[in-house]
Amino acid sequence: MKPNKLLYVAFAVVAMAQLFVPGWMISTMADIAKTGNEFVFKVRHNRAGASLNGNYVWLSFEANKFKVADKKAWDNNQGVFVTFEKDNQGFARVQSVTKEKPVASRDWVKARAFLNNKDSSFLRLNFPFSNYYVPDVNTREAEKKFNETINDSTRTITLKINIRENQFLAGELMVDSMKYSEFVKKLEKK
Amino acid sequence: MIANYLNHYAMSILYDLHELVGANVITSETATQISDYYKRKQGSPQGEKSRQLLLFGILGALLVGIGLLFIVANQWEELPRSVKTACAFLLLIVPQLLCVYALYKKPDKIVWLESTALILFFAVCANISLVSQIYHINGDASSFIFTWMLLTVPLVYIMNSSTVSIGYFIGILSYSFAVRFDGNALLSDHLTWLLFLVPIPHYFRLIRSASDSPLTKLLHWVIPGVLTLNLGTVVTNFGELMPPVYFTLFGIFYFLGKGNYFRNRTPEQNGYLIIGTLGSIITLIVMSFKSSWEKVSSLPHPFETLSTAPEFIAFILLFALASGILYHEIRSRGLADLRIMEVAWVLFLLIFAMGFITTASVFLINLAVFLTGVMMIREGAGKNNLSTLNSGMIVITILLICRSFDIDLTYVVKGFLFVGVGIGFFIANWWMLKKTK
Repeated sequence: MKPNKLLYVAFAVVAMAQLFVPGWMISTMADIAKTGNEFVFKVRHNRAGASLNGNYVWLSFEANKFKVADKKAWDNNQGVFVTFEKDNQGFARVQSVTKEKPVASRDWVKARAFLNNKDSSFLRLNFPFSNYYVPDVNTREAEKKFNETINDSTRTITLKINIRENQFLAGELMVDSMKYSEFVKKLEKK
Repeated sequence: MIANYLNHYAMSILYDLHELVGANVITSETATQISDYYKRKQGSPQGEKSRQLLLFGILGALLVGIGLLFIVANQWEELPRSVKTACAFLLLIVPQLLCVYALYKKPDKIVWLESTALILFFAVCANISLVSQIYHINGDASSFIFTWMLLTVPLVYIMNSSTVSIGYFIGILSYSFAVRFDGNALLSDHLTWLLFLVPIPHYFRLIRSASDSPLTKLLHWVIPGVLTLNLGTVVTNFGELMPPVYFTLFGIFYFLGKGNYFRNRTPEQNGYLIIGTLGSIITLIVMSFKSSWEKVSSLPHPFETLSTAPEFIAFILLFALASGILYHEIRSRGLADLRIMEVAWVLFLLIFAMGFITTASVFLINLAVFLTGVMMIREGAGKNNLSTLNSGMIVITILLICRSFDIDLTYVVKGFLFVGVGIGFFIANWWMLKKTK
């Protein structure tokens, strides 16, 4: 028994959709790389700044703190819109945190805001690009070295992000002026 | 092994039939009817072979699928981005071609359709994950699962795939939970319930046309299991009011499990009955603790807030459904023919409502658990069913263990109670064995 021709058509439509979605993801990223504004985020140096969890590293940035005028206006774990600008050295910093979608700028992402336990006049912001995919760090020793290095305050660790209206493209993680992937290879050779 | 034993048992009966016909004990017509019955029950050797093929086909597809997911986690940083992207798409296109081959060349082979559809189900997941990793696209878990499920659920109908429907049910369950913790989800919390409806027409078709398929039997477990777990997503501010919601759902499962469709099926095939019964007993045992009632009686439940609470809305919907089924059962069988378990949810609701004003509910629930245990023992003894009898004993033992935590009895009294139940176990089992000999 041959199946109905409609089934083939339906399968073709589904297969196209299955191919279209990842293709659309890639083309969106290519578009953001062209039209989004590039920001360089400095990774914060402290034990809690970065932690390796499987293939993902949770990055905490210098720019993830924001002083608010009225601390009572904010709830813990609240969805917010964060607009970025560049500081004197060219690194990213938070220009504003709002509850409404910004209209004047395209350089914004949705983030989650948490009240700071130590100083409630500051909001701690979790950006959607904080969870960064990294290649495997193979050995326990290399992983230990990775943790030491990423928390070493003498090094500058940065991440380039292209941003356009909540869409973003993460670039290479840089340790000083070295690409992270090269840095890992160097670690594993040692 | 059990199947072999049954085969051997059936074969010996078929062998005896010749002797019985020869001795004029039964007519040859009766012998044919008996022989046909056992053949139907056993299934033909081809049927058994295709069942095994289906099982191993699905197992193979699962392994291939998991293998694909492991590739996602593999180290391949050496390759340029374009090669990695090509690999990611190849990983999707090959299973798609396999599905086309199965649809075109093997449209009647369930094994082909099921296993290729399942591989494609995992390949879509692997492809989206890979593209996300290659391009550092960060997204939330809820939109990832939603996209994955949306892109694969048509395979349930196009490939007639029950395994994909099972994967979809589990995927939507995890989506539903992810939505609860993610403010940016596409659908609001409660609309996710509608997503469970998508494979239901396929399920009904299976019930009508392939009720003996192992995958249909598995779906009889997956659907009530997934619905029970997903009920946890309606909990917001009135978690203490969830027991009646769960109990009503278990009541509905019990009705379904006792329906005509499941009448001649074994308990292993009847997930509705087992989940309904076990769920009811577990809810009763949880509510037999005094602490479970503290929030019910002490916290205010103003109707204005309560009437819009998801817990309350879920309860009203389930109550309406359960009442409808109960009304239908009463009309068709009469009130006298109803079993106590079929109206247990109504009794529970009455006791729960009493809990707002009096602490007598705790005592009544304890009594209900005890009576449930006694009823099971009686039923087991009546039907010579050792497992039902022992289940009843276990219910009473659990009740005793629970009460030994929160009732201030001396160790000696507690000791005597446990010894009493232990001796009860021995006597009941010894008596049953003696009765069956």
